[in-house]
Amino acid sequence: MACFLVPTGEAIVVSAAQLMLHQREKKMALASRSEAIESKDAKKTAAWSEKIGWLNGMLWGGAFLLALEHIWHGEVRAYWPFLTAMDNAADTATMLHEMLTVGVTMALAVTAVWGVMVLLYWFLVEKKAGAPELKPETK
Amino acid sequence: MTLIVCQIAALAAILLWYFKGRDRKWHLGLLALMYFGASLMWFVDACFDFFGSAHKFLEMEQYSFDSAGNLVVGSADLQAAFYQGASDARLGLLVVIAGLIVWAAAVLISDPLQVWRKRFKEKETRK
Repeated sequence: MACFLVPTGEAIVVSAAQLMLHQREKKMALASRSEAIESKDAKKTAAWSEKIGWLNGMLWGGAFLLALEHIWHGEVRAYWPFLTAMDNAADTATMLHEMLTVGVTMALAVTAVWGVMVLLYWFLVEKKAGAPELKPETK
Repeated sequence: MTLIVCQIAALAAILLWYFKGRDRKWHLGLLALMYFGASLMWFVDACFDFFGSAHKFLEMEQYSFDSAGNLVVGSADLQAAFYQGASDARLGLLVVIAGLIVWAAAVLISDPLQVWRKRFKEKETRK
């Protein structure tokens, strides 16, 4: 009914976090300009903003394609309140229940898979390249 | 059916990214992430369908004959089941095409062959 709205909400939050992190990383790179940042090994590994970009791609892409499915099935329309399930209270309750169960599980599943991707990337790429830590860079 | 079509697209995009697109020039990673994310979401949806009331994870139909000897697929007749499957397949194709449109837009905006930039520079030098 509207389960795609939960991943969309997460995607908005994650996009804001990615933007903030990217700016912070940019500032840090400009401030330090250390050899580690300039070295080839450091360039081989992805920054945290880029890793969060993977989650963003999955969340925005998945939510967009899922929204198409809902439009196809006539559950979304072009005028207020946009969702046909909001026409009456019973359908709205069903929609909210679906968002809390299916939607939340979708968002959690995508986030969990992203976590596995980050772990695999750390294990297969960053560990070999000599990046020691598996946590966001802080000042 | 939509889940299967999307999973095939995700697998193709991941393989393409792995063998051809790891230089990030053509944004194949974006395409793979989009299809992979959508596949995961539909997979969760299918799990809820299966563990909920529907019990039809991959819509495996059971074929039987009714009293008049007509082929029956699950609880629906063959024609209804065919149209339902065809509708889901069409939706799957629409999803794949929509993903390709988003990817093409991302490629055109990033301009990996610098076609737009060259034209813009040419215009500026003419001025």
